[in-house]
Amino acid sequence: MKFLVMGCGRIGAEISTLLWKQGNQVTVLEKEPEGFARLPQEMRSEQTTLLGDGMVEDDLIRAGIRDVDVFVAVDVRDNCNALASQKAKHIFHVPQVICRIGDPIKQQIYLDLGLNAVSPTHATTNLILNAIRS
Amino acid sequence: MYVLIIGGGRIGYHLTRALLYADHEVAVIERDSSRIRVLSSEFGNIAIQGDGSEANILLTAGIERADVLIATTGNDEDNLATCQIAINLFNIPRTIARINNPENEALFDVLGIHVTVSSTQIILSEIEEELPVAIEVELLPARGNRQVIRIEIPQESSAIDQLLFSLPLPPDTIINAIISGNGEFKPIDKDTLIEPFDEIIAITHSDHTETLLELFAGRN
Repeated sequence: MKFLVMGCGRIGAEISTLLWKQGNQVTVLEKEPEGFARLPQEMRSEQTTLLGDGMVEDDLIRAGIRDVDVFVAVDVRDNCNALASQKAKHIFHVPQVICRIGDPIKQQIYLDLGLNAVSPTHATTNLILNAIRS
Repeated sequence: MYVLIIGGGRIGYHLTRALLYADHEVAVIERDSSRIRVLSSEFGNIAIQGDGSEANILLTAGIERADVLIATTGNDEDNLATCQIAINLFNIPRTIARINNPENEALFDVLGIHVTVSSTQIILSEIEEELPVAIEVELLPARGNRQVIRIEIPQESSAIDQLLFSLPLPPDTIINAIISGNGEFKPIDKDTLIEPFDEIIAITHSDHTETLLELFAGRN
């Protein structure tokens, strides 16, 4: 499968690396070149990284958004993820779009709007609750 | 009407002034404390500090009774998130977003942001920066992708001492009124002469806003 991952912070780097190790074709789009240091060297040498802004259509096109199967927006900023994801969904019609939204209120709004919004806040809270119970 | 403005930069500031002048109730949400001080000293207690794309801040500003929300920040992603919260969580009847990158207009349209103010606002602010004098300009969106423009003729304008109808006015443009420096309406006819401090009220298509501004405020 072809993946386009926007954001190479901790989550972006980890998910990209995992997908790449599973044999998928992965492109990581990130504004700050330092972010790519989180990726393994052998992955970086395979031209998997692209410096650019996931909210800008030219950069998305350069990153191959027109023929990816999945777009994953995992920038640290919710609003950037929301804009980029909605562009991927409504402008480029990417088959599957997943969007990280930390703010639980916004997450619910975007879920209601049909976006696959996942919340690290929600996930972490559940992990802590489970840890308390066990 | 109760109008909630997000972003107290140059555009938010001018909008606030125009809306207060027209007797509307206005609140402004702004992140930057120095801008908050400017707004408060000018307009009184109408500014709230915080992130306007957070539901809690919008509630603090009384979004539940707002008739209109206008998102004017320099970040399209923040303007989009704010309008989507306003529409989907608070059922605000009318939201207006400033768009900084024109390519985003299609997305805002698809997502039902009721009105989008196109990038002419940016062109306007760029023109303001390029001009040697601060020009007095206000814009309001109007139907048919048009804008209502109020502009004061600066002393250096190349339009001064020209006949109004000798100027190459852009198409789809109506000059609605001219108010002279002493506050009198000027008759608009073939003899109308443009003078310093004239206040021009016009409606034009958004595509021609820049041309019109340059015509009235540009130097030789």
